[in-house]
Amino acid sequence: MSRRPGKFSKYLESMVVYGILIAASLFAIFPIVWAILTSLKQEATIFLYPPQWLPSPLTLENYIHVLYNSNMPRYFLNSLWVVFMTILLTLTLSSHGGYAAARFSFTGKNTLLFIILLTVMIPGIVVLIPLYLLATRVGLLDTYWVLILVYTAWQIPAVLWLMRGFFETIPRELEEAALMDGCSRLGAFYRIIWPLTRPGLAAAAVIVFVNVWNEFILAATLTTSDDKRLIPVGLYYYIGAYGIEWGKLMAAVCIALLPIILLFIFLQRSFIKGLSSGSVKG
Amino acid sequence: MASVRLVNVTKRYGEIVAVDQVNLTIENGEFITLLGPSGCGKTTTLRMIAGLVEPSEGEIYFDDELMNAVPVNRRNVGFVFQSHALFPHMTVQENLAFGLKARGFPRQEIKKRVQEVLHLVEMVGFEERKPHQLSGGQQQRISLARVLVGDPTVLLFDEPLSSLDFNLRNTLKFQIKELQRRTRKTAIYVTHDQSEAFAISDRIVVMDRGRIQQIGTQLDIYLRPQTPIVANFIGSHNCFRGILTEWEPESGLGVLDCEGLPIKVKMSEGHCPIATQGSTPPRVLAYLRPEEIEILHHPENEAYLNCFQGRIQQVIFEGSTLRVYVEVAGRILQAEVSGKKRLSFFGKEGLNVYIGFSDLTLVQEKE
Repeated sequence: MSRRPGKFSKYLESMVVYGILIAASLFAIFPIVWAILTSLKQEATIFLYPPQWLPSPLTLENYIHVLYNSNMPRYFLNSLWVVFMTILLTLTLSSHGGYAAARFSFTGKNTLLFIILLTVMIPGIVVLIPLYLLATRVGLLDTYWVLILVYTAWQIPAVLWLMRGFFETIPRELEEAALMDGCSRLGAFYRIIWPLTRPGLAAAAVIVFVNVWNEFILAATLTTSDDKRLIPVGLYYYIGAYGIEWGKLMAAVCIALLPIILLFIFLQRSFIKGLSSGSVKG
Repeated sequence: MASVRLVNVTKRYGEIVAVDQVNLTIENGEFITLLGPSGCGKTTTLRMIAGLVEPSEGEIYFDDELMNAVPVNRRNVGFVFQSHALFPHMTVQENLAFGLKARGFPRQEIKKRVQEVLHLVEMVGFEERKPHQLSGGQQQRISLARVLVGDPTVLLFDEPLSSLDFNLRNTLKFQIKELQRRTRKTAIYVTHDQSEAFAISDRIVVMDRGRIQQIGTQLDIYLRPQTPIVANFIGSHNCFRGILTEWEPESGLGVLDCEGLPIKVKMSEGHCPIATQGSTPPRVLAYLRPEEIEILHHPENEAYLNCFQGRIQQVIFEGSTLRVYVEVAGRILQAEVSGKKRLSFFGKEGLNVYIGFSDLTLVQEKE
């Protein structure tokens, strides 16, 4: 008799927890599902009332337009290139900086780290005009490099701190053992420590990818020509003077979402491991 | 092989003196243990020898070569860590080959040396395993192998067995000693485990608060402690604090007045000297090992220098020994009984007995 109430309350507790999780997941996933469904509808059927949940007829005309009759493929490649280079530079610089922050003691270390972290608090819009003027003066306006450099500078502080936390979880004895074996300090870093930071690097890569891939204001300000445009700015151009082409816009959004979704699917384990490892000490 | 010499080696961390004026010579091929409680400076001393920590003062020599300015990766020492420090992303083979590759050895030579050392530690067949696929004892043997494969001049061990269970520690400590004996390398071992130190060392260095308290063989350290710190740290004991009221230099016999309890003592050769020439009788600490106390049913004054009546307060069965706490003249003394005799005292709390003992270690108390 006394067992049943315990069992029932545990069952009820599970139901409530699962219910909340399912509701939250649906809430998060609904806009993406709606975007996919809209991208597969004809323009005329998008605003039907009552709403047509499933596309009928199902059409790929929006995707055909986006892929073959627009500059979205170019924007996609531009974004890929800028993101790839930003990730490369950010991870290289932040991992070396994070290692130094984790392993070495030097005068002013804590102050320097604090200043680096402080830059994260500065809203991008505050530095927009100075950046524009600077880019113009040095002749980098409307180039890939201005975006790569600005995004790298933007991402380094957070990634450096993440990597620092990650390095602190790696026992110092491993480097000491490598030194004992005749390795130099740099050799120990590249051959022993670096391979062990893969989860941290994966987590950092995902964070940088998502941030830079979705960034709009800097991309819109620092590039002026169509051939340097990035995806978020390209999407904006589907908002025309006479209205929004929802079907095409949603098709472009789905194409833009694809790399992020694939990234999470392939790197999710490393991402979670990297974030949780870094958080223990960092 | 190399001898290791420390001359006035000191290490300070701000106001804290972790190692204080250590002078020590370790002979070629010797196995020496730095023994002491946690925080006594033994690991810091070891790490200074390795080059992982820079001394604040003093010199470290390997043979006659000054090593202070030699970076750690040029000292050719082998260091066995407490945590094994095997590279988790590499196989056993790769772990062992790493150092040789870093030093530019040819592939064939690396392969040959790795196989030799795996034979030495009886780990052939484990080449392709990763460290997480090995047991604790296997990991420790591989970390030993990694150290030996580079043919170092000096072996350094930083509490390598502390994370292992009792039985494995017992087995591995002798394997370490055997490997050292066969390779004839100079070895410096750090531990806080006295039984480990006693089992495998040629000499023991007892440290406390950054300073060397005593250097000697196992017998020296255990039977003839030179300072109260060594006497208190090594083994268990009963301690009497008293004044040496009577003294016969010819026979070495004396009487220690321990707050009304007269204890007869005998100073023998090699014991810590007591200054008996002064105007005031010296204050002395007398240490009595539990295994030196004999528990008797009847007094045997001829057989022992001291024989007192007492009453058993508590009996603890520890397997091969029985720990018996006896109340004597208001004091609780700890005795250790082994062999079949221990069974006769098991469960005998409250029994009136006699205790007999002769051998005490005397250490003069510092003013």
